[in-house]
Amino acid sequence: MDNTSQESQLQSENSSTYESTYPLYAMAISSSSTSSNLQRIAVGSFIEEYTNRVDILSFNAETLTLRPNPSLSFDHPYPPTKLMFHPSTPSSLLRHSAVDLLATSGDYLRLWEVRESSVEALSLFNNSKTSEFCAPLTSFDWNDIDPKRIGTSSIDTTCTIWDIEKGVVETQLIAHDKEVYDIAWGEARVFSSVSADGSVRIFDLRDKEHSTIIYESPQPDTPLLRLAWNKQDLRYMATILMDSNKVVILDIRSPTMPVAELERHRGSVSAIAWAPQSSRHICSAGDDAQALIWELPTVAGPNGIDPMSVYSAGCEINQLQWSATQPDWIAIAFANKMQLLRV
Amino acid sequence: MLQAAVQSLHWTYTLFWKFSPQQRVLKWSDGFYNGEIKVRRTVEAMDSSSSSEEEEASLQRTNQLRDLYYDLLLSDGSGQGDIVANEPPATPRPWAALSPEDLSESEWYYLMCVSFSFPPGVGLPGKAYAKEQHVWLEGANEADTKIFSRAILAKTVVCIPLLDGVVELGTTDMVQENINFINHVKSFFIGDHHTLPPKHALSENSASNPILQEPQLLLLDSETATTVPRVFTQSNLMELVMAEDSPAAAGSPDDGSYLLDSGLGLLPLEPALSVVELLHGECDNSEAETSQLCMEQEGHTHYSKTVSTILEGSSGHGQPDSLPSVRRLLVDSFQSAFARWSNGANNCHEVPVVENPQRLLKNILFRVPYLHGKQKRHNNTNNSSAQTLEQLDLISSHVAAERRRREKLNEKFMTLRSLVPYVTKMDKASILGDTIEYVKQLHEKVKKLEEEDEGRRSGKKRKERAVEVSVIEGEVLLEVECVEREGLLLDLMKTLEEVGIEVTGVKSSFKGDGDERVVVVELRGKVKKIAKRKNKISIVEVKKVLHNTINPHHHPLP
Repeated sequence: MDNTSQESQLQSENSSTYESTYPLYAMAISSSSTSSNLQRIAVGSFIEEYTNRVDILSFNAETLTLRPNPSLSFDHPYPPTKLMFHPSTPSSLLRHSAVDLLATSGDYLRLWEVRESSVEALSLFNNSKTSEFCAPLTSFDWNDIDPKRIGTSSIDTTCTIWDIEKGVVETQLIAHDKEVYDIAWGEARVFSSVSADGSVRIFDLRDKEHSTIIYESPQPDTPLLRLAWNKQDLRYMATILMDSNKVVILDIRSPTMPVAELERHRGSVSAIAWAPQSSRHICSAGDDAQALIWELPTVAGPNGIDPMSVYSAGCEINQLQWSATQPDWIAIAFANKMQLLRV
Repeated sequence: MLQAAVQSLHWTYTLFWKFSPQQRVLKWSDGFYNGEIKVRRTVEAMDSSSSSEEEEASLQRTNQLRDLYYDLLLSDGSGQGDIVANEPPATPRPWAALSPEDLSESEWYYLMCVSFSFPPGVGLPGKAYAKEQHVWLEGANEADTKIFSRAILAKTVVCIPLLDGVVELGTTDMVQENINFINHVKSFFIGDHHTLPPKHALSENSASNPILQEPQLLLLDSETATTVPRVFTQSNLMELVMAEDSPAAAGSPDDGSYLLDSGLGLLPLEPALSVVELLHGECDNSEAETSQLCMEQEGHTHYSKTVSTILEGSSGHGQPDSLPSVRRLLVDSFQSAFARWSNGANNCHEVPVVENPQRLLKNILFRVPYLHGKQKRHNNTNNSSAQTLEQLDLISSHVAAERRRREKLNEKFMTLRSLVPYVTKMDKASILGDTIEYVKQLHEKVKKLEEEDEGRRSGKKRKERAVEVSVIEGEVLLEVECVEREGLLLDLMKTLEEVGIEVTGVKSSFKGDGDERVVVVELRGKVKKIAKRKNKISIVEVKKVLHNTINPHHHPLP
């Protein structure tokens, strides 16, 4: 069976696995490493109940061990839809690397301080006037050029930009006609979002009245579920559609026409991530239990683009993270497990 | 000599470039390395107190470095050996003695220098030699590469022409030009015989960035940094910052240059991402800028060639696979968890059949946000003013219903407008007003018409009710019922006589009352021939005549 051969290919030196007691969805890799080479990784549970948890694991790249820290685990109401650590640019918020800032999204945007042996809740960002109702968040992105900015996307069709240092809303835009599913920063003041209305739009905070549609799904109103902006080459973005095995690569300079459609997955794609150190590589994972790494050529062949390499997990892969602080490792989440794969 | 000099000054390294008359170039002759040594993957700065132990260590280090260099060269077999060395290696040392990955950056730099050679006037040592004056370069790491092509590590470099060559000293600190220093150095070598003009030669000060804590490797192109340099971080050994055209859309960070903290020496990476591969890679690129970059600077090329030679040589030693460069980033060494893609192999891999595609992702996006509302509802059962998600649902359905009602109303208004003539304005108030007027008019009209109609009918009713005539074998029977009139009976009888009916009997009675008094008359008679008429009279004629009698002013019935 190919499955087993793939499993046996997983020697201990090119991967590291953590098995949890509950299914995992959200995942984040820290941008700062603590002393002695440990990297923090946060994983969020997916339990369809009120009590969910976020665990912080420590990854040691030398010994390839992935261990949970029971003291660094905290509760979260309902599954967190996204986790993200403070980006790597040093700022006034990060004094030294033992303390990490983790942001979570769910009903609200929350900030947590991850210390050596405890996690403290720092703040909760709530924009609604009445204290009761909120618009839950589907996703958010932390601006790595200007890390006091976090942009959130919500089911109430708006995107909210927070100034987390002051704890206030910088602006709130009605971004789409339907629920917004993902948001990604490009520059310090430019972000883009995807929605159930099937469009990818770019917004510039200097000109809040206008947005640019750079892509619309070919079947109208097919929701676009995820978005990733290539930080190494800001011209390119990638997005995935609902129930589709395609990864759509867009060039923001030529709207509406995708630059490439990567169609080698044999199941719907659930997660995408650009390579943090290369402008031409992207990784995608989906229901076919495969994680594919693609190299985007300058000129595509007639049969479409083939991936460069492939990894097969045991079941559908739900999450994918490729961190700039660990560019040799790709993190995936499937079922109850989180795996770090050496690239 | 060199050793003593550099150690006393606590500088990082010193080299002696010897002038070789045959080739008329300055070549590396001797050197001493006094900088950081990478020991077991951590960097230890050399303690500058000159205990004999450390002196020895440094000396040993220097020798090791040199030997390594030769090893690498020799293994390569390309015979780069234009080097004039004081002590040619007897036998190549086993490579295990010192492998490239054990070197720190400064050591690498030092090693590199061995390969260089300068004709007079070219490069810092060349200039020093030519001018017969010392040259002091501060901020060497940012200096224009034409001046100092080996600007890697040393922040301050001094070249002093001495003996039959040039002594070069370098340090990773920034040191201001200082004539005493020069003299001090000289004193080690020449005693007091040579007197060089104690004036400042070129001291090239380039603008220096704020102090960086760790020695960093920067290779700038001659067009200085308007563009955002890009950093490839594969190796802790050499990090190259290549200036590239940044896409127009990219916003540069405010301070304008990326200087990556190398995080020295903590990760056990091999000397993978080499300057060379990158340079060569970039040169191969179709991008004009970078290839131009490559061409422009010879110092670059020389340097890069050396590095490539060495590294290629090193990999020839059978060391584990050098980590792929960015370009060969994801080639699977045996260490990668990913397998190479091949179309055939992949097809036989079984794919799990998924009934609910993107299940978790859809849950996160479609369901989870609404779970929050549910929870809030549970918490707020007592709070009547709470706007829970449920209430919002109700509200939204109300909104929809309201909208539908409004639409219906509007439709009906339009219909109304089309029915009513003379509508001038389109607004609802005028439509209604006009309609009211119109309806009133219609009422009037109807009323009038009805009155007339009734009048007509009742008028007819007044005058005549019924006239029946029957004639059987000459016997005539007449039944007349009509409104009473004075002399009606007489008129009837007269009329009959005129038409030749002899009245034999009359029966008459009244009915009704008031204005409606109706007389009912039954007349019997016989039909007779009369002179006026040729034929006997017919029933129709009789009727006609009677009608005329009864209703003298009205049109006869047909």
